[in-house]
Amino acid sequence: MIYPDRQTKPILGAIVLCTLPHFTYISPIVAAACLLLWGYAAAASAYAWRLPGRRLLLVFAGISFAAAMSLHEGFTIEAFVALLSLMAVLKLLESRDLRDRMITVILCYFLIAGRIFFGDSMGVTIYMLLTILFTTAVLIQVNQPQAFFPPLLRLGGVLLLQAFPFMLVFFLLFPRFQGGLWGRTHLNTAQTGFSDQVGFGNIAELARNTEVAFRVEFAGEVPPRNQLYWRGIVLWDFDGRTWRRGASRLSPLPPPEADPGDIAYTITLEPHNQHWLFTLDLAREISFRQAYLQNDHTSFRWRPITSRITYQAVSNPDTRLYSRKHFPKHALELPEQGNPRSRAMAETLFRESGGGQEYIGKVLEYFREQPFEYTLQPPPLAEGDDLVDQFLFRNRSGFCEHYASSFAFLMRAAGLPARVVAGYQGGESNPYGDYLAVRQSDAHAWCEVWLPATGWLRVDPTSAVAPARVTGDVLNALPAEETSSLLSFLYSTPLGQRLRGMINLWDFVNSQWNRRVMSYSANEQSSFLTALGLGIRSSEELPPLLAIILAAATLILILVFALFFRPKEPVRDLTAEAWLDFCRKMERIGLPRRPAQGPLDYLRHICQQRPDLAQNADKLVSFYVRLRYAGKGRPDEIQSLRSLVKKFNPGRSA
Amino acid sequence: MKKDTELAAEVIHESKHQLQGVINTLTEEVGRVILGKREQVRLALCCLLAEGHLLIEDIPGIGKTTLAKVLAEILGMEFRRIQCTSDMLPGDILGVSVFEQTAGTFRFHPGPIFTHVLLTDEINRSTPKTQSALLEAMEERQVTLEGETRPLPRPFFVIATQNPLELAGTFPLPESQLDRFLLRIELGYPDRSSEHDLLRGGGTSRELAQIKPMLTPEKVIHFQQMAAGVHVSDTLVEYIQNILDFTRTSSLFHMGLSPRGGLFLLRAARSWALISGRDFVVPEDVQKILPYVAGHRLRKADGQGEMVRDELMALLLSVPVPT
Repeated sequence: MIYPDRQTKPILGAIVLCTLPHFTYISPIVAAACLLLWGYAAAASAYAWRLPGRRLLLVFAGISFAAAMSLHEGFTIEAFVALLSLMAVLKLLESRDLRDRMITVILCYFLIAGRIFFGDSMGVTIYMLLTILFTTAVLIQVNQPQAFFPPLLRLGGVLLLQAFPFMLVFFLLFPRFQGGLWGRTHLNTAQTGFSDQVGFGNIAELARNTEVAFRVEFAGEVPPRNQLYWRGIVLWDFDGRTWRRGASRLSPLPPPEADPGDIAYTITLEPHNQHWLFTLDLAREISFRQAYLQNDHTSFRWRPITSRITYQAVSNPDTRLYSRKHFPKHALELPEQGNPRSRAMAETLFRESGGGQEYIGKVLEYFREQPFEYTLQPPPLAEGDDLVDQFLFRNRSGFCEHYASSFAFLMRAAGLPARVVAGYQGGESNPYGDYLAVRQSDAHAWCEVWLPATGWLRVDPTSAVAPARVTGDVLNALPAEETSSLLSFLYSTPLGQRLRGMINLWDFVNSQWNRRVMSYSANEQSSFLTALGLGIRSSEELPPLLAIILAAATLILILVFALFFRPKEPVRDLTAEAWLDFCRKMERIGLPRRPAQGPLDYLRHICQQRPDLAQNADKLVSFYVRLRYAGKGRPDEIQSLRSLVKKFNPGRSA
Repeated sequence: MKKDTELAAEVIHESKHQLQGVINTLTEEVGRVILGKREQVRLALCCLLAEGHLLIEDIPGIGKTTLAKVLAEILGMEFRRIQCTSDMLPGDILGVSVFEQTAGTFRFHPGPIFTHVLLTDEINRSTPKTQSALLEAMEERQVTLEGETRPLPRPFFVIATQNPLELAGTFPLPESQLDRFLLRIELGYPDRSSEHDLLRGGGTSRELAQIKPMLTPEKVIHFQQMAAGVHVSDTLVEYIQNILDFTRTSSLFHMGLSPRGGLFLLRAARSWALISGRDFVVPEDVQKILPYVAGHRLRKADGQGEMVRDELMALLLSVPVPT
């Protein structure tokens, strides 16, 4: 019978603290299972319930493995973290001795480390440090069950402080590899941020996500807000429902010449697991390894961006979009059928206007004058092919992608080449750090139209409907009933102002943390080593060399420990060995000694079961008892006990 | 110190068999009055030899008082009895100084506590103040009144009884005071044949009158010294530590055994080993007396009830004996 012991509670506490931050990343089913198991462990410890047997736990472990793998798309990081979360508490439920408890606590350290895969913001790092502190205190308690817990936290803190220099050395010197250990972000990030297509409604989904997409620091003045169009991708192909990038027909942008109106800035981009980088309209240069500007002024990197990167870029709002003399043919392609009313309207309006420029004006005027509404919750469009018709003539309320899509449709229907650009618009300037934070909620889509006189021209139909969206008037951009009470609180009350200041401060601290600590990568490492005088010519040599140095250092440390801290050779306890031999012999004939059974009890038991052995066993046991308990053992008596045991032959079991 | 133990070891060797005979005769004699309770009688003797005090917990009319009386009588020691009530004051137990006009001085009238064997009936009926006065005297084996310290006679053996059922008007002993009793035993109903004899005999008073003293206080002190000299090996200390550790780390208990609990356990085990005719302690001795030493010192994990005997036995089965 196994009961939970007193140490269950602190270990459970450590498991809970270490697992909680994973809950947003692992499957809710796994999280619920964790909660159930925690509750069971807590109740078992409080009411001294029996713990489940090994077989049941084995079944649980199997189920956990299957669940973790099937609920997280196979062998992903999430799956392993989920498995770790479940296994930690299952291990707790089968903890019988010190070794089990130690393993459980060590699993907790793995759980803590696992959080790094999902983000390294400063808040997370502080939380991780606190959980390390707590877990270390629990680790001490596991080894000193008598100790009170609060002083252990202090002791744990002292231990961590002692480990700090090592951490620093490892942080600075441990070989770093470009692109991280796994080369892939976790599933969750892959879902946030927008994908490479724009349909009716998928940017509106992003509008409530306040995560920072990237932060920008301008070298000079910050351009006016209505100029802050952050270009991400350009979409060409429309199938009546969704705009896609289509097959790549792009080539690198030829290097432009410097211009007095250039704006230089630095962007720190959070990982989004896609290939594109964001730049201010319109980028002329971008400096980042493996990234280059294409001739639609978007930037592209061959490897997806799986870790936070920082890059410099130069843009000029006055730059003409690079355009060939002729627009590409697919800038006019539309589905052959569908949306007859929109097509008819485009034809009529185009016929009435003198040229492309005037036609654009007329369409914008149409948006402005008809009762169009800018909203986060557009009424759903019915299934069917005529989505643009539905939007233009019936629903008339939508988010930026509705306006951009239908505007581009109207352009192409009238024979004007047009495309949709997706990216971000705006950004909140942070008074503490003098930078702009662009959030997922700033996601935006707009259009570009090709005119023979100007080439590609940016037109933002959303600004015709909701000018406040572009000028940054947060409170008036959306209809009053959609402005959340939190938003109006933040922007219109004094307390809200202060709170907003605090949010800005926190964002600033995080950005500094990212820039100064977390961005320390292979490049920085090699320049740091050069500064130390350990310059190595090629940065490729660095990781293997460091690995060799570290391996050598570790080996030396191990040797030193092995030489100086070798545990004392335990003195062989011949009496115990002889006694155990005797017990083993008896066990073989089916008379095992219970661990809690004293020698005299055992003798009585043997005499009852096997009277034929009584005489020999009695002699042997009394020798043992004299040696062990009477304090009269002499070396020759140990010898005689050993020979007695050796000669003792219980025969076969009866 | 070492000399003492060596001396004690010699004494033990000489009189071990003598004592064995004495214990058996004592048990036999007491058994004539207290029918069918040999085990409890031996435990009471064990407690006496370990210089501890005994708490008997059982319902009225089961023979608690008779046991105490017989023990005192047969050991040839002075016996006093206090019936505890809620209006009793410490002075009623310890004694008072009274001004004597003829002499013009205060004279101390010793209370009933100045005796060898003291039976305090229904100890949980007295107020905490009186309880603590008594229990202090038990611990220190002396009485301090008005600045003067008076030693109690030796041996000094308190048998307290309490009734677990009667709860109205009682002041249950807190853990700290329960801790001063070395053993706590229950008598329990007599078995069928013993009760038959009892009913046929028509009570115990006749047998009680026939009891003759078999020992003297000096003899008892001698035996107590023998018990203190019983050998304890490192392996046995390890076993006791295993038990202590288990009570402290297991979640079955509210609180583990204290170091004093460990000392008491060892002391009782020595005494039991002596009674069993050995001059060294084996794990079986510890296992034998553990329920009686630990029963009133351990609370269940919920902090409410005491451990049931079965749970204590389960405890025993989970603590391995060192090899």
